[in-house]
Amino acid sequence: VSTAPAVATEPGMGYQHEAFLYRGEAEFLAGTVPFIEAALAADEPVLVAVIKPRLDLIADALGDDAARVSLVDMAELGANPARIIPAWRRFVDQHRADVRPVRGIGEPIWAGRRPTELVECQLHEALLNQAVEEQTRLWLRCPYDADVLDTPVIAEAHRSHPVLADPSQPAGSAEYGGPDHAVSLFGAELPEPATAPETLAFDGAALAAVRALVVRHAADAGLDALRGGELALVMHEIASNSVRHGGGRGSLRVWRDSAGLVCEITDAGHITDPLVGRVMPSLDAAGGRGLWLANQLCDLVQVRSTAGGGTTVRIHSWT
Amino acid sequence: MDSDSDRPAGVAAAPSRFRFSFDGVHMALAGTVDRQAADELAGLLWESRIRNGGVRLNVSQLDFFDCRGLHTVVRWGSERIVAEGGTLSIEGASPLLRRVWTVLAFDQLPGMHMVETA
Repeated sequence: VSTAPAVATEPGMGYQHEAFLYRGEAEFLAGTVPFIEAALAADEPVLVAVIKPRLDLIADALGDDAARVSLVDMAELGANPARIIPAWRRFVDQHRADVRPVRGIGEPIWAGRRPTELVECQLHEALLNQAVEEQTRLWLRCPYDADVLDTPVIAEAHRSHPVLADPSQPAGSAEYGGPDHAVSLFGAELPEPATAPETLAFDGAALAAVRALVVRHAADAGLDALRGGELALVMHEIASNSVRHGGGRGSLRVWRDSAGLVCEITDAGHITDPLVGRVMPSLDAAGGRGLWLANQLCDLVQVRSTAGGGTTVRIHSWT
Repeated sequence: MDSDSDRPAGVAAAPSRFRFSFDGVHMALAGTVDRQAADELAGLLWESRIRNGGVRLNVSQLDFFDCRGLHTVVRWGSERIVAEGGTLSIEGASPLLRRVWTVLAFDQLPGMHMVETA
């Protein structure tokens, strides 16, 4: 398999994940609307997930054809970027993209995302290369606003997309990192908290103490009873994972930052599949629901794991 | 109105203490069902005798129910009740339990329902 970049072209019989770097509304529309119209002309299903202002731009430009496209507000769908891959999987399953071509536009990164969200969006983009089967006929274009996004964000888009569509740089870039890049992002260390966290070492007999500590901090941070209960359940499930798979014990840390409440569990286990928590557990599976539940219930979930360094799961609740 | 809505759902009265009763039709589960309790609960469920196919499970006195405990009930309900043509109605679920039920797609299982009145 070649990791050499290609200029955006019609994909062959398989999955194509491309970054589309644009400057200004006109370029944004030029790189999206004809792409959508070509799909509609061929009767291909299209899902567009971008933030509201740009969703409206596309809808206006499409006119009556807008009714034939699934238009989704990415600020809602991708608030926690770990919910985006399940949405693409649902889309390709629903429309049988194993046998017919489908197209998507997904813009997970926009100016104004919190720094922690941005980091998770970048992991999401890198994971998207493995999240869809190579032979799936999904042509997925990811717009990046090159006018307002910082240079390192654009550089990262080059690393996480095998194909580039950049009107001002049609030769593309040679930076694509392949699957190894996703693994390295999944193994990266998270920044240490700026304030001293409250810490609790736990084992299988202390899960009630984990829940009680989380509930207390959730109430102090002003989360309502439902959010506090959700957070306590999620941290309980992650702590249970530490007991079952992470060496029988782990450590809980809780602290506040400028964006809200942070709860983190570390243990000695190693998660080998970086797509953990992004695949819906089957109804009859005995376990494996903790990180899926976390991603569905919580504002932002950061999972990091390496063979020697153990596993960290950090949950952010915005306040 | 759900009377449980302002109770912090993660607080356990005592760790791994749960209460279980079943008369063949009406089942009640109360207290804390977590990791340790799930196996014990599984034993009670699989040994129980079902009188008719419409089992009603009341969970309004449940303080905490984790995914393992919930899956234990779902699996038993699927294999023991729904597979035999019956139904399992879950009454008095907290807003949190309803949310988890949906997120884990248990609402797509045939024959098992969350019902409004306890």
